[in-house]
Amino acid sequence: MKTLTFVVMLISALARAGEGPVHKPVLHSFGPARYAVSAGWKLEETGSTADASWRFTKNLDTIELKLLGGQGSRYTSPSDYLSGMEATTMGKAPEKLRQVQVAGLKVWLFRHGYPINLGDPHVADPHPPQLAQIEFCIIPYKKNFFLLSWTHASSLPDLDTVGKKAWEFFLTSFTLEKK
Amino acid sequence: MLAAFWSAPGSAREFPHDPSGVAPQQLEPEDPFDLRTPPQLLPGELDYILHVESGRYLSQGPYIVDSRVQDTEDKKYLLTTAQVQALLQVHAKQQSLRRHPRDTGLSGQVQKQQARLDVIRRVFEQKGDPGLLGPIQTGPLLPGKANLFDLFLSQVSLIGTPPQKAAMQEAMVLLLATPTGRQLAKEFVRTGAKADISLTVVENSKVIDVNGKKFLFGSGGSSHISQEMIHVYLNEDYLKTDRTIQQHDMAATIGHELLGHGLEQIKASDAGVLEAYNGWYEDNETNAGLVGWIISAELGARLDNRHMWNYLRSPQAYHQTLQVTLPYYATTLSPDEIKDPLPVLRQRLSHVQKELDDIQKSIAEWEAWRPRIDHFINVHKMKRAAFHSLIEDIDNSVQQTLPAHRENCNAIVQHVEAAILRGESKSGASEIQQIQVQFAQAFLMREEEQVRSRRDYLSNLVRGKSYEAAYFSPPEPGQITWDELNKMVHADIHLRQK
Repeated sequence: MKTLTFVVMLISALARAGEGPVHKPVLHSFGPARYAVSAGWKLEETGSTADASWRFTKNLDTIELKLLGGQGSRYTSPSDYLSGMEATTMGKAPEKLRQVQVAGLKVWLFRHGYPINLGDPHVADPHPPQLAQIEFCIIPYKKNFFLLSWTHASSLPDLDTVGKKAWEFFLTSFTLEKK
Repeated sequence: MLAAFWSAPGSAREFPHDPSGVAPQQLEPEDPFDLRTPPQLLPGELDYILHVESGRYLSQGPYIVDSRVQDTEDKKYLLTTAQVQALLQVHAKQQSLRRHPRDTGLSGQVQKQQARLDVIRRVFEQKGDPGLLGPIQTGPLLPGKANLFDLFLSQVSLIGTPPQKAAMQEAMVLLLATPTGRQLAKEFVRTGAKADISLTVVENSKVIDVNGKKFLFGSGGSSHISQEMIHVYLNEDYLKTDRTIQQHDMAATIGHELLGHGLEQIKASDAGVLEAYNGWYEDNETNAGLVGWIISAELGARLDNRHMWNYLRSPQAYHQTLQVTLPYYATTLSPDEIKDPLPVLRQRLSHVQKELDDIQKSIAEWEAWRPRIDHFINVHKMKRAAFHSLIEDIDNSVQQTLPAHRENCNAIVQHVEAAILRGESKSGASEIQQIQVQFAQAFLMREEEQVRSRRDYLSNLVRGKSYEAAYFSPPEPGQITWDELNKMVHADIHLRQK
C-alpha cells in the first residue's frame, strides 16, 4: 500500500517537474527515505558505516544522499555541518539560494563551490581557481539529518540543464515515511 | 623617526633617568624597555602605547615612562620590556581581531605566539634585514648550546651565491619565527640529520606580473634524501617575485620539503619503514602539505593554496584529486588499503578511466558553448569582440588544460596497470608483504595521528578566513561573462518557445 502511495506521489511529482522529456523514474529507499532518480543515472554506494551515502551520477552531474548525525558521524547536527569546512566555498560560508519544499518541510537550498582542475600540488598558481558548484539542502530526521546535494563538476553553467531537472525531480520525489 | 619621538615634548613632569649612551643589544624581561634596541617598534606601536589609558605612558628619551608610578626609587616608573611586550601583544591581538572578527578557536598560548609572530613578521617585512630581528629567542635547546637558529643552520647548508644565500636565510628566519617551524626545527636538530638547500632552474616555471606584483607560476621546489642527507631544491624564480611573496612562499616551501617530507623521511628511516613511507604511504604528501600550509597560515600569508582548501573540505576528495593528478599519487595507499591493495588499485584504475571519460565530456561541454556564442553574433548581431574572453576560456580549456590533464591520466593508467601487474606477480606479492609489515609498525600509526592533529590545528588556524586570491581580475569592460551568457541563452530559448 505504501509503495502504491509512493508511486502515485511520484507520478504527481513527475507531472510537477514539467519541463523536458519525462524519464522513467527509478525508485529507491533508505530507512525512512523514499525517493526517485531519473533512469540512466548510475548508482554507487559510498560513505562509511557512520555516514551512509548514496551517489547517482550521469555525465558531469552527481546527485547524492547522505544520512549524517548518527553515532560516530562526522557531524552532530545540521548547524555543525553548516559551520564546517565541507559546506564552505574555500572557507566562505555557503550562499542561501531560496527556500524549497522537501518532504513536507520548508528548507533552505544552499550553494557552495569547490576547486577543480587543481594540478600538481607543488605548483604555485596565482590564477583564480575554477570552481564547480554544489547545491544542497538539509532535512532533519529525528536526531539525524539527511543531506541532499547536486554537483555539476564543471566551472561552466549547466547548459543542457539535465542535472538541474533531475535534481529538482529528486527533491520533489523525496519523502520521509512517518513512523 | 624614533629620534623625532625622543625630542617630542612629553609631559609637563620630567622623570629622572639616566639613559646609557649605548643602546643595549638585547633586553631581558625586567630591563627598562629601550626604543633603540632591535627589533625596535613598528610605526603606530609607540602611538598606541602613548594613547593607552588616556596618556598614562609617556615617551622620554629612549624610555617609556608610567606617569602613575610615584616611586622614583629603582626607576620603577620606566616600563620594562615585559610590560611593553604585554602592551604590544594586546595591540597586535586587537589588530588581528579587526582583520578577522570571528573567534579563531585557538588556545591562548597559540594566540600569544601568533601575536608575537605578527610583530616579528611586520618588522621583517618592513626592514627586510634578518639581522634586525636579533637572534630568534627560543631559549637554549641543549645545555651549553647556541640558540635554535644557529643550531638549525649548523645542520642545514645553504648553497648558492651570496644573494641567493641571503634570500634563503631570510626565509629560514621567517620559518623559525613560526611556532610550527620552531617546533619542527627542534625535532630536526634532535635527529642530527643534515640537509642542504639550493636554488635551481625549474622546468615550465615562469614569473607573472599581476597588478604590479610578481608571482611565481610553477613548482616551488622538490626534495630527495640520499644517505641520511636531505637535498632541497627551491625554484630560483622565487628571487624574481615580489619580496613578500618570495619570503612567505620560500619559508612555506622549505617547511614543506625539509620539515614535511625530509624530517619525516629521516624518522621513517630510523624506524625502518622508509620504503613504505616514501613509495607507498599516501599521507607522506598530506603531512608535507599540512606543514607548508600551517607555516603559511602562521606567517599570515595569503591563504591561496587551493589544495589546502580542498583538503580541509574533504580529505577523501583531496586524495581522490591527487590520484588522478600524477602517477605517483595514484598508487599510494592508506594503512587500511595496504591490507588488500590490488582491489584498491583496480578501483583506482576504474576511477582514472572515468576521469578520462569526464575529460572528453568536459571538452564537449566547453565546445557546446561555441555555437551559442556564434548564434548571438550571427543572429542577434552582437560584436564578436564582446565574447573575446569567453572564447579565450574555451580555447585554453580545450587546447591546453584538458589535453594536459588527459596526458597525465593516460600516464596514470599505465602506471596503475603496471602496479597491478607487478602486484599479481610472485615477486610483487612478496614486495607487498614486506611493505605491509612496515605499515604495521607503530611509526605509521603515529603518522596517522599526527596528520589528524595537524589537520585540526590548521582548521582552527584558518577558521573564519577564506581563500585569498592573489588578485581579482574583473571582467574587461564590454566583455560578456559566463553568467550573462547563460542568462542570454535561457532567455533566448524562452522567447523562441513562446
